[in-house]
Amino acid sequence: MQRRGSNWAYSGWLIILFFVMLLSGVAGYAATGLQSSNFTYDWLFRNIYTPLGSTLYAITGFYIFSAAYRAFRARNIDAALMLIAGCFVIMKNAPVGEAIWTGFSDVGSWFQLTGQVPGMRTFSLVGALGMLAYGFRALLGKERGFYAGVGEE
Amino acid sequence: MRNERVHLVKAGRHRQEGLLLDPLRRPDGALPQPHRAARQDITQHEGPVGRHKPAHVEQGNIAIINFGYGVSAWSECHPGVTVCAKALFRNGVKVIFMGPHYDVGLTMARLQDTVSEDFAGKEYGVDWVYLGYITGGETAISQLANDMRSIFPTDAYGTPLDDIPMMRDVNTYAEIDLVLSSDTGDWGDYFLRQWQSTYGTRLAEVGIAMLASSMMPYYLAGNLFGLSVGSRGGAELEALIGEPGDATVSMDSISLSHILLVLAIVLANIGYFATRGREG
Repeated sequence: MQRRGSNWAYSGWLIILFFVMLLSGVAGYAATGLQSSNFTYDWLFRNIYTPLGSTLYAITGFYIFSAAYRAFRARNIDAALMLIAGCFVIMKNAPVGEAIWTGFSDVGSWFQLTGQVPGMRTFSLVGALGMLAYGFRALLGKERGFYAGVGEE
Repeated sequence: MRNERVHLVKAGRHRQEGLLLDPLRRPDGALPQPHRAARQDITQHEGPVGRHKPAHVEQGNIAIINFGYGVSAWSECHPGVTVCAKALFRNGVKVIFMGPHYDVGLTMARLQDTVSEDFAGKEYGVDWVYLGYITGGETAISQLANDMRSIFPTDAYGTPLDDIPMMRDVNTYAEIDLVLSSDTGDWGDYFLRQWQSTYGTRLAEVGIAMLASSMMPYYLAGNLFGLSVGSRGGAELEALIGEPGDATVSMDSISLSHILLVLAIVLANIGYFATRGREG
């Protein structure tokens, strides 16, 4: 705030709200002994924080929409396969997909169970083996870069 | 309020839709609902590989419901948890509520609102208990399995666990029959590693849709006896108990948003190929 950088007013607003929430919470606790029965704190949480939280989460939908429009292009055969599988899984997850064509559910499930699940299993197994290898290397003193501030031998 | 919503859902099915975007303006469950409540619901007894332990519960069983989600994920997680809480209460199961998310107090209050009829017939400390916020990550979940009192000396209201009738003989995993973890993050994995795989505790996940990818292998392997993902899973569970609610209503927007997404992808590719052909 002192540097008056861009959008510094938002930083000021953040600090004000920080103290409002802190004081309302502490005052309510001091008065009642229970944070959960503090009207001011509850009101702020229910009517400001809760809708904002839901809104922020919902905004990710627009980012996904935008990203899908820009990135989901069948530029080569791999991208085309990904595109087709993605569309089937999307339609499988939407109840209306089954109403349009029941095959969306079957084909989407097939993509998920025979395509995605084995990939996830592989990811988990490789991650676990990698952690084992890392653990052995750390025990043997060969992986000191992270915690000793030096490079790998 | 809830009765009005249910009425709307029923009425909406017979209503002629004039506008494509009407369900977004007035979501009422009018669009087709998930009728294949199938592979992902939490009450399913046999999984695709047939190795799941039965989800059967008996009167007097003790279950943990873990709120690993906050306000922002209420739309995805809360309907499924609501149905599960109703089902457990109606089957005489005693429930321990707790959560690692800082919104756990709000979520508990909302559950008491959405399951108010079932809570009304239950006595605090005898049929259910609210332990409150838990922190400490996977280490705390591991410790919880061996000595609950070291993590929760009291409930969320400051009453020592020894003074709560339901908790007098409950201190380890051995006294817990079932864990339902509802998450946006890793807390289901912690219970999976520290409770299910270690002690064989029956575990189910009610998570956001994104968790379907990471949890499905464990469901297929039999580690999870049930998996409900996203608001779609919640709607399936609502259909199973015959009480349409928030998730059923949200299926309208889920359907339309998914269709619009596919349309956007199709249009983008038509434009891409048209432009490429012109350039070529």
